Amino acid sequence: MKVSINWLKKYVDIPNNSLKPNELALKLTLSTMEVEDVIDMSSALKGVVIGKMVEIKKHPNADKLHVAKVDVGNKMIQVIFGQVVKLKVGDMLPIAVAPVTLPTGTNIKKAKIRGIESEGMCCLDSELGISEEDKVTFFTDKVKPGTPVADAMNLPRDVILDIENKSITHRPDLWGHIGMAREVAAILGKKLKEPKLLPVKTKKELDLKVEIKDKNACPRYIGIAISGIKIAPSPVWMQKLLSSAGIRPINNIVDITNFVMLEFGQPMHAFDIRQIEGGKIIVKKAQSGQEFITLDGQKRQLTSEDLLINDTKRAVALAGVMGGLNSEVKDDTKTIILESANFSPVVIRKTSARLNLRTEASARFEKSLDPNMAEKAAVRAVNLILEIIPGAYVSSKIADINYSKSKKIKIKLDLDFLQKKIGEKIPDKKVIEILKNLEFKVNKSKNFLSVEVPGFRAMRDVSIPEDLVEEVSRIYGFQNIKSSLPQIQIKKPELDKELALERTVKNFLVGANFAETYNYSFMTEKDAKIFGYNEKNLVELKNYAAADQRFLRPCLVPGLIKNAEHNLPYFDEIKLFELGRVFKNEPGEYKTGKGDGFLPNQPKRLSGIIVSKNSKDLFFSAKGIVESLAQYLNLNISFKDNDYLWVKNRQGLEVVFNGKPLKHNYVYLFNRQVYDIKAEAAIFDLNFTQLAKLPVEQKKYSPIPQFPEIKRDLAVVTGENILWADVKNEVAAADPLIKGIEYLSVFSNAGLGMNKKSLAFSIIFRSDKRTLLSEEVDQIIKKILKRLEEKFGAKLR
Amino acid sequence: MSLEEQLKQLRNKFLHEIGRAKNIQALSDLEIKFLGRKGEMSRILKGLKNLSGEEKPKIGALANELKNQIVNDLNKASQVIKGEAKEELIDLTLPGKKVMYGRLHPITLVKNELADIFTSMSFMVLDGPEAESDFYNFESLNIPPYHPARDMQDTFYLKDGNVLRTQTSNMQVRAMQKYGPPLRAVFPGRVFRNEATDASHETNFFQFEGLMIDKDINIGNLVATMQELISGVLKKQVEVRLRPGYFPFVEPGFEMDVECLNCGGKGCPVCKHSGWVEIFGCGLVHPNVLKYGGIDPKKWSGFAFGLGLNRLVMVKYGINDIRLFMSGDLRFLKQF
Repeated sequence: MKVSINWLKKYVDIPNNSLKPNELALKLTLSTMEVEDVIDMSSALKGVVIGKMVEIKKHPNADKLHVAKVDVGNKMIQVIFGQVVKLKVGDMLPIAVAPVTLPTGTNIKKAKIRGIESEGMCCLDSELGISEEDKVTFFTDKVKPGTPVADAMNLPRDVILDIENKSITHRPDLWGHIGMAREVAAILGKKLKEPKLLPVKTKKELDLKVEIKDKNACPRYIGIAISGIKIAPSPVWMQKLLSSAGIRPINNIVDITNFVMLEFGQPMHAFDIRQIEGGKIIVKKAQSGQEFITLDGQKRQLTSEDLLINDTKRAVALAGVMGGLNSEVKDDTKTIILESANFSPVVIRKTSARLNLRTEASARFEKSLDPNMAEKAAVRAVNLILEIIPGAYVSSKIADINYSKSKKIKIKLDLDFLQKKIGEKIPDKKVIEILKNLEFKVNKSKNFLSVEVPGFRAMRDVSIPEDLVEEVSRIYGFQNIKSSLPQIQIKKPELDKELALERTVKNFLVGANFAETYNYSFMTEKDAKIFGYNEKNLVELKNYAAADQRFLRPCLVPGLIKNAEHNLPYFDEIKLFELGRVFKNEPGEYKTGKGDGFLPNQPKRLSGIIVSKNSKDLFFSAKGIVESLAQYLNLNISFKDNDYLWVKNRQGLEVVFNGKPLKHNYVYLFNRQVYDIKAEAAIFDLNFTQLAKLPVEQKKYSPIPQFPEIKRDLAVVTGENILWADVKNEVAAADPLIKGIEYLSVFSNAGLGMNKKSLAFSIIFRSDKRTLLSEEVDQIIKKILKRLEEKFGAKLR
Repeated sequence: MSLEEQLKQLRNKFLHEIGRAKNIQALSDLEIKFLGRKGEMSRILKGLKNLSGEEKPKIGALANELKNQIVNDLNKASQVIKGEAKEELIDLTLPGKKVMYGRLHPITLVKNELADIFTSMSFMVLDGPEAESDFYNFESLNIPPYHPARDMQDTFYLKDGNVLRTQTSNMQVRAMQKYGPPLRAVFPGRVFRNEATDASHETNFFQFEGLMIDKDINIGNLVATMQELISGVLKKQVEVRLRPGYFPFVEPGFEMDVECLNCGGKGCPVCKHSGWVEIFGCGLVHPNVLKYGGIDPKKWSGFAFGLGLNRLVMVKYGINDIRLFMSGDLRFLKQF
């Protein structure tokens, strides 16, 4: 919302010299709401004046250019211009005198154009930023050359405070200048001067009737007929203020309704009475499917939730949102019906949201307006119309249908409570003064204040003592409140095991040269297809903005694949991991525990990718990560065969922790036929939520061996289908003195024979009671070789 | 001192001095000083006669060895000085052997720092669902359906009627219900907004929410705790300011700004020339929210705060584009 300081000054004394607009903006930011920007309108067109064309010649070096001598008041300058607009000697128009920067950001400097110096520029409206049109505004001889264009055009000399609308969502009263002025008055300790409302004299020429069929949707409707209207421009002072606040002046009636809206925050509307059949206003819900053309010429499809203003035959306005095209005020309008009403915030909000039609009116009604404001605003509008349009008079009685219950909110404020919440004592006198300046009625008895909330704050905004704590503390100044850390009882915080494990696991992976990444929680339609998902199993969004946000990701791997692809041009080796939630279209936690349904199941996964342009055996790199992680976490790990779409050449295993298979723990080589990322990629993809629930056994110390070990390397030739795990188990079972078996290498070549491979490993022998003799170990080796030969047909190489 | 020790000392002394010899003359002086007839070696070996028969040959051998070493060293040095021999040249400016290590995401780094600060003040760290019910994300936070405050956050709705949480505040009532008062907890996590992305807007980002419920919690407590948080993360004292902010689940509600670290508060494009960067929303917990959490607002009060982690990380490291966080670009990730 744009707030004009000139407008504020109508209601509160703002000292011109001692309080600069920036300082006022800061005070408001610190006490009331966020001022996003301070715009000085008078400086915007500084350096642009009215100039008179004295002489025009063709540019000697350019066909399409002209050279003009221009009188800019205190001197004559030379300006080169083109042919967008035809200019002749004697024309008076806006000239930018170099050097100057226009509101559009264009810098005008003295410069030679095709050899001839230009000392300024003839300005189009679009270049001045006063309209979008590429036309020149000409002036008559009444204006002297050299007059600043801002004065010649009656542009407001004003400073605008641009308010962040979100910061006044809860304050319908601040959507008008009087409300803002009240804040300024309270902050500066000044008096608010509200406009005087004069009693309305009515004639009973017309019989205006108002009927409200839905009192929840429309608690109050005031209609007033005013005759003797002559449509004309509104007074300059009003136009200036409206322009400052960002509203385009149209005519006296529309401007007055807008003016009152920007004054009190109460939207109003005016109908041409010729278009109101039967002289009756009926407020009722639309028929489902009913069509209505709003003021902007758009045909709108309505539902039975939308509220319409009707005459006896048809709809004439979409209540609280926008008027109808069929009943707007025209140039020859003589009699109007002025509407000042109160509508349900929920109804207005639903309609404006569904039609995606946000207007100045809907923005205000949806914030819950005070029904009493409708009356004040009506009177103010009538006063202004009678003042501005000579001959205008109220030609009907004031038709005021009021179902609103006047809501008096009284809050008992315990001054100890106030002190407890703020953390220090603010003198009672000061507290009372602050509240009174904000127009709360205050009575003190003992240690309590009885505080009556003014109507314009009573709708949603202020209702409990806590709200008053805010009122007092913000005007008192938060910066004046002393800070102190809370006094608490020491208590050891409960540890969230899953979060603790997250940190452990992430640190482990960082040590293993993995970089952590975060990917979007979305999955694109395209990826859902590529990666072979059935849409039924995916969680779908209702209001996604782009096709790449249609689903929630069911897996972290596609994101990592895309990351790897992105990084491949820059790195030969990529190691990335992500720990995050995935989403499944199946019941997860209860929504609220009240039997009202479930949230989607959203377990956490821990997934990583290893991509390398050079290295082979990537599968084993990924498997090694999982094995080492298990060891680090003191989990028992084993593997099961697994094979599915994403697995290349059967190089995939299911990971089993502590002997119990849990859903979704895999390590595999990625199948690039699914998605080609131009390099081999290995994946580990673990169900972190379940992993975190596994019972972890405390690590235990085993004594360091007292006697030396003997290590022997052994290479055997076996059939190529013999598995290492089986060989290892067989070796381990050969003798209790065997304390460890370590894989060394495997290879096959022609020398070994067809379908044969050589398998090399180390065996560690040790006794806990004595030093082993070499001969003993020789005996065991013999035993091992015999077993391997019997079992696998293996022979010593 | 035994002869053996004396010899060792002699050796060290020699090595020390030969290191400083810059020319041939210096070398021959050294030879005379250490090996000459009246040199240091001879002086030590005079002690031989006092030794037992067993020891004599041992020390003799040692002395011989030392003498050979010295001769050897002197020869080498003289060759080097004359330019006849090349000393083995090692370029010590070559880089050390590279140790490969990974990186935590900068969001994780700062999240961990914050969590540690709050754990040290005995806050729990809790996690919660990202696909959330309307109840926990809005209603229990004093934001009924059709409340204009819903406009403040552009929400992603799911087909099943749930939402992607727009704020980590969804954990407030969850934590109250689960643990009851007194309560101290922080909730870091991912949140979602349905808006167009640009250098300062993202659809997926991270927040860090905190909640403290106890007896007699006041505004001053909130400010002091927030100051601890900010100086803890930024590792220095920075100016903060509190101004009114509207969040339906707190009353009173505040926005907390920190002085712009980019310009030191003078005003620059990062802070939109205001000198301040908005980092937090915070306030005293609204009694309605306490009631939703099953806590009696007459007995208990509390404060809550929520900060945009991305924004804080950007301020801390000088990152200018929020989209980098979700880019998965190793050229970005490897900088932290």
